[in-house]
Amino acid sequence: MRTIENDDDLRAALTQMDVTDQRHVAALFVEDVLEYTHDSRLRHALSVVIRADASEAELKAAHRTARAAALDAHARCGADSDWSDQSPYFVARAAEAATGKNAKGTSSTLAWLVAMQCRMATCCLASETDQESEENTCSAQRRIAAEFINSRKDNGHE
Amino acid sequence: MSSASIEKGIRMIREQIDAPIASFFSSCVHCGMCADACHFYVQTGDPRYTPINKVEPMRRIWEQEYTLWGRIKATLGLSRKVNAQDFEAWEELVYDGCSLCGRCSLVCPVGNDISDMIRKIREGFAVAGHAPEGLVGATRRAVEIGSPMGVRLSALEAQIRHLKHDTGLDAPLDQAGADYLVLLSSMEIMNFPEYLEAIARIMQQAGKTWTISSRAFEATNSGVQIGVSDIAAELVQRVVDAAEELGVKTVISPECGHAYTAIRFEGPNLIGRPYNFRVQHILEVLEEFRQQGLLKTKGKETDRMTFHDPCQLVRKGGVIEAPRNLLGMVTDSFVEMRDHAEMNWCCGGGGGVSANERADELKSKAFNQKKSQLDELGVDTLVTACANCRITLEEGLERNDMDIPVIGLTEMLADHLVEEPGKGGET
Ligand code: SF4
Ligand code: SF4
Repeated sequence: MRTIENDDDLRAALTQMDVTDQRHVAALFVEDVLEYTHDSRLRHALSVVIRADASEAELKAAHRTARAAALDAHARCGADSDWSDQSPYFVARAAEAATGKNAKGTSSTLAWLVAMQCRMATCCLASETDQESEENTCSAQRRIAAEFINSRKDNGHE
Repeated sequence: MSSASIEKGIRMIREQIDAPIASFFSSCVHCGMCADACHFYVQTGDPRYTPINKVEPMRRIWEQEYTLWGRIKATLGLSRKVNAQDFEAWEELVYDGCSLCGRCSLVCPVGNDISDMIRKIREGFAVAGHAPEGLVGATRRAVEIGSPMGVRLSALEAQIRHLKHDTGLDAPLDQAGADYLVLLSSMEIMNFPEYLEAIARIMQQAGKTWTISSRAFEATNSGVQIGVSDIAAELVQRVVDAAEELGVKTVISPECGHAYTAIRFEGPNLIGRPYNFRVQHILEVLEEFRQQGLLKTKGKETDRMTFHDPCQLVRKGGVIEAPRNLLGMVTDSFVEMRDHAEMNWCCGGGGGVSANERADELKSKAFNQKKSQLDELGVDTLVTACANCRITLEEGLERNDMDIPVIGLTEMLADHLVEEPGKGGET
């Protein structure tokens, strides 16, 4: 059984995955923080990524949906905003990245970028004294990635 | 609005009419070239959006009070004084229909700085109570909270904690004697926290010390956007006080166009004295690092990409080569838009337009100018260096069903940095 103990291991594990697997794990990362948003469009978009038989057209539509959700949730320039209300925005950004082709214009791993956006969503909600919430999201991500890798092995993918 | 407010507005406009503005009015040859340079006019075809028409109330005050012929006309009842209806009618032209992009000033054959005139007429509209609600709220929050979006220090501290936790990098607060004082825009803090990580990684690689002031971390200057110099001066002063107290050598304006011109060019005039530190846009700093060999990157993007020049940076700051040199480090597939560099078209959201919800429809019409530039280029990725441009572009692309991701240049460079063993941080 593979376990992932820290972020270096997590990052290394994500880097070894092909884009389809990365998207799948990334979608699971976003599902883990989906409770922070009421935008039902995102759940549907993620379900497309997780489905093994999703077509290119479906993936494209899912990506567009997630991007629209992110733009709807962004803090408008000059508008009265509250950091603790920004979680839905970061969840939507994470879903946008998870449904995208690759990490847009960067050399970073798609799934790692999604992990970071999900952590940012938790960071918004954490109070000044609460260091635990973000740590919980991090350990959940390590567990999700390890379980995914193990399930792939069980199914003879490696 | 009461007639007393209108009188105040007229008085304020009169005070703005200095020798250059008077000469601009007397030298206008009514050629209309400024109209063809303005995305609001070009995309609506509405002559009211002709740049020089946006300052017509100011021209009338100048003519009636400072020219002989104007005085005679006024005495004979041949001209009408500027009144409340004019303020009503021009408010939309002065705020919603101008992003202070400066393109009109660049093409005027007699050198009229129309953009600056519009910036100045806003002073009169603001005191007359004829400024958009969104900008009024943003300005109030900037004064009271220190951020036009009401972003408090606790939000920034949360991001710094996140940065340390996930990357091991630090964003030091209030470190006296640092090389650089980094300013942030509220837009970056709220929507693009990746910028903070990018700065931390770049500074680490370059071996420079940097800090953020807990008392003055905000770069955006709503006072300049709404057109109230007293407030603009107060906001600049906060940064100056922080920079001097911390004894930094350079203040870095972030990826925000108007913040840059406000602190760099308007700032010393607003507070009435030169600074004892340098002010640079982040791209200017990165270009210096590149020239000094302090910026080491690896890998190249394969996507076909172009750069959207933020108006303030390129037209007012003349920062043209820096983004192109920096992009050259990370891509071989860079293509230029037809009108680029100092002739670039605005995204439509600058000058407070984005903060003004009422202007949304007009802003999206103006965006069609950018759309046509992008349509003929067919790029995969759009890079820029202003958080407000970035969201305006994203919104415009989305509305027009164009699947082009928009990326901040600083972030993109940070993502290509060579990882140096023992230096921590993420790739
Ligand atoms: S500054 Fe830009 S938006 Fe304003 S009138 Fe001139 S060209 Fe138009
Ligand atoms: S371009 Fe200059 S001279 Fe021509 S109409 Fe505009 S302000 Fe007047």
